[in-house]
Amino acid sequence: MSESPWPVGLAVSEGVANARSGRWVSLIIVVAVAWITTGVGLANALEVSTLSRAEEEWIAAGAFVMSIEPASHETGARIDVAACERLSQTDGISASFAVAVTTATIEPANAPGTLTTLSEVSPGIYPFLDVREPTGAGLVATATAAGPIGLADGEDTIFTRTDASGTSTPMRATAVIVDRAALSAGLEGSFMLPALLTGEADSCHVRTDAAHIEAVPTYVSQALSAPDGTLAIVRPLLSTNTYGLDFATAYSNRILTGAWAGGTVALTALWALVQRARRTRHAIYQTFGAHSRARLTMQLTEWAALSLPGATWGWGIATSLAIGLGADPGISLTQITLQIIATWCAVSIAIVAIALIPVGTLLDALKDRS
Amino acid sequence: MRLVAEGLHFSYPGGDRSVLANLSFEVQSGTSAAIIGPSGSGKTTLLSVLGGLLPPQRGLFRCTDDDGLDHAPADVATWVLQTVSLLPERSVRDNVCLGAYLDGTPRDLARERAADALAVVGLADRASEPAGVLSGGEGQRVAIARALASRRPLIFADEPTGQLDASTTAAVLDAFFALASRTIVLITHDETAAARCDIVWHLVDGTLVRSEAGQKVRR
Repeated sequence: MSESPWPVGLAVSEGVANARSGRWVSLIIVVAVAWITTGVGLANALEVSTLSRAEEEWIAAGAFVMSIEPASHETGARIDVAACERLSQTDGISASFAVAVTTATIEPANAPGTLTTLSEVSPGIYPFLDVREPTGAGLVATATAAGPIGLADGEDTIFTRTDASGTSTPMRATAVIVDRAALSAGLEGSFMLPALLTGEADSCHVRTDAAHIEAVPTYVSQALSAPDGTLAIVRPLLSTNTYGLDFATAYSNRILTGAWAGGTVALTALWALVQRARRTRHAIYQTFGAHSRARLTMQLTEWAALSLPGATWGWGIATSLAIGLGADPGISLTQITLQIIATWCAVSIAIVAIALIPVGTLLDALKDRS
Repeated sequence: MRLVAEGLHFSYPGGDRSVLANLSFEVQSGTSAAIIGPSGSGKTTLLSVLGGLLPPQRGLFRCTDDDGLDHAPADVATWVLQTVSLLPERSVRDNVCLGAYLDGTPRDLARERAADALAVVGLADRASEPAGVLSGGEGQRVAIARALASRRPLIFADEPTGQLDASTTAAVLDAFFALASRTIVLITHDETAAARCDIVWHLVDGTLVRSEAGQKVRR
């Protein structure tokens, strides 16, 4: 076949002209692209946001927190405080602190008679809870422990510490209240007094992350082993995943991650139907010198001219709806953009394939007969 | 453009007879040939095989220019198609421009040619309207204008005046045959139109029989 008399520029301008003159068919394609991309993008944004929120709650509840205790209390073995504090400098461990449970109780001056158990903790508690250390002495409590006695975060007050022997000692401290803490049950209801602990403690808390969750238990059980070499016992704070999801695989196993494929099938089917109905048009162009490359350029241009406004429209609707429905903005933008780009690219490839499908003889196509 | 066909054969799949059977003819460069025959005799099939709309099954068809070079029909011919093959949602002007694009004509020049061609067929004032709103006869005139907008040396015309009244037919044929130096192959039922061609053939049982009716009144 000889060279087509149709230059690329002419094929592009014909594609644009066909898109503009298509009226209802063009409008249907634009609207279909907008709705399908909206659906594909929105569904993914909402699903990933929901997953992400559940994962954040899971992590906040202590998914990557471990409590380490001596192998046996009967042997008198305890946790080395310095070793526990040093763990926070280990790769894969973001924070650690030691806990020494006391027999003392403490009560704030504004709520006399409300005796609460007291634990002494190493200063690593502050970065562990991701709270700022007060300038003076601090006393850490969960909202669960502080709420009933009306103690507010940042409140500078007098506390009375009473030892087992009955000796009471007043002390001034700033209350550090945390809404929710990944702490063992014993600490949830007690007050924690950060202090420069020395020697040994009852337990050590460490926080790691998803990448190190497998390796950290072995490491810390050795690092905090007893002098006789007995390994410490490591207990994950959350012994079971009550969220019912394995977050390590939940994202990759999402069904909607392939939603772009569904959108591609729907848009490709629509485009194929339109092109089938327009086979006479393509035959006319072929008869008047537009060879296959020019016709393909024409179709791709028309597709681009109709689908890009539609996809932009869909992107805007999906993003607005997703954020309006409470999805994370960053996740929404990423998911919607990726899904729409994937859909658009896949349909564009399918359009090339459709354009290359033979339509029978040119005479049949001109007469629109099979 | 000189046309030579030798031993052309064509039958449709499943058909029980040959539409074209060992058909041969010759048309000299710059002359016109009319092919007439009853409906179903294979006139459109013959033109489609000549023009490359249908793949040939057997035989030889050559288009040779004045320098003796052979060309594929699709590279040297333009068409007036029997079915009013227009782009209905595009303007009349855009449809006519297709004929000029066939020559590789730039868009601006194509629009000038389209305007001239539409004036010839009496549709200059309809240039901006969508082709889909035209009547059958008007659509046929647009198809003729599309062929006139091209400068290709060979025109295949399939029933170009079938839907036109007598006065319009005469005007269109005048424009058609004013295209000096072009070779024209005209399929028609219209004896008047056929009579204006240099050669008239009857398509009978898949072969061409030369008629004595050709009067060479073209020029």
